[in-house]
Amino acid sequence: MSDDDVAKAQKIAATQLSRAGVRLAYILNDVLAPIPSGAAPGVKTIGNSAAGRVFALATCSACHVVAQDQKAPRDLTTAPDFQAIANSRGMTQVAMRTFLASPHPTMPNLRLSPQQSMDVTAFIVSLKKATR
Amino acid sequence: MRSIALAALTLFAARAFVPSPALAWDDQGHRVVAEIATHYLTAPALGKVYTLLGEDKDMPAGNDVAAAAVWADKIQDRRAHNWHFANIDATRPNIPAACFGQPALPPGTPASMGPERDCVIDKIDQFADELADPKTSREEQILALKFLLNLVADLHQPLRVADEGDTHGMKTAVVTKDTTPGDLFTFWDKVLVIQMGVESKAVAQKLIGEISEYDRAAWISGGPHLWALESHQLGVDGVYGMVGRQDAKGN
Repeated sequence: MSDDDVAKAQKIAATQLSRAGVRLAYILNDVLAPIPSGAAPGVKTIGNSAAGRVFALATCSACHVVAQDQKAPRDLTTAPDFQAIANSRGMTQVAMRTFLASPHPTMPNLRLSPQQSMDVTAFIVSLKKATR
Repeated sequence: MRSIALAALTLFAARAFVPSPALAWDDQGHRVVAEIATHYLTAPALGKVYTLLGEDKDMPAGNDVAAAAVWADKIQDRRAHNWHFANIDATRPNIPAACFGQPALPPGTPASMGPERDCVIDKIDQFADELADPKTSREEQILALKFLLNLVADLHQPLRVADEGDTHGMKTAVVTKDTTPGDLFTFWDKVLVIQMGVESKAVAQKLIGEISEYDRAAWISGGPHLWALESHQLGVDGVYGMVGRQDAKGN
């Protein structure tokens, strides 16, 4: 490996250690001393989830299972189902909007309008099952 | 009757977990992650962590969160081996396949006694659910905490969740100007972390100083499933991409 590659590897490793620490704290705070928030299932979300569903079926279904009755075959099978995303630990509309607004290596760089972002995240959060 | 059976299972689990060879992110990496997490824990959550670890007969110092984070790598039960990985294939990534079909825990079964064939993503969710559930036995809560302290770090070691047919980099040689030749896995698991410094608290403080509020807000979104995919992609692009596919296949 070149010196440049070693430097890149060091940066990735440092970032991953930092992410792990922040996320570990987030999980432990959530399960050991949860702070009540407006993110619980059934709490009103901002945006039009029906419009978000239409948008998601048109835009996201090439990679994700957006709805169980979607017809179009997926180009990729690696992306998680929207149901699984909705039921991910700590998933809220705010968290989902933050996720969509920041770059992630596994996803295309989406440029959603504020309304599209609210609608599609309202739809995703609406899929959350009340398991906890 | 069910609670007695559960207690017996939990006791069995506690006895079965005895120190054995390390599994992932060498001790130093786990300690650094634990120190960073401790910094960001709320006072009530940190108090509960100290209380649980203080009741743990396996841990000599109840307030040593960094030491507890290493515990899951030292246990001798091979049942837990797969729980430190998600064998996500680099060319055909599939999370359910990497997680052995993501088996549900049999009803009434503690996560520490769950199926051997399960992955780090599922185990993080299972142990977190147990820790949040006040009905979970105290012994199982302690085990759940110690597994979480370890497994969340493992999820972020890119080679734990990416494999190009070289056993997560263990069969791929790495040569750099400043290090002894070794395998790719050890390079990522140990060498890179040690290069950051040998004092875990100092390394953690340095990294904490570089974490912005924006980073924290962005990083906590998603959950273990998406975090695993993010780490996997770093493994494919950032780790295997550096050494080249031919090297990774052992050619």
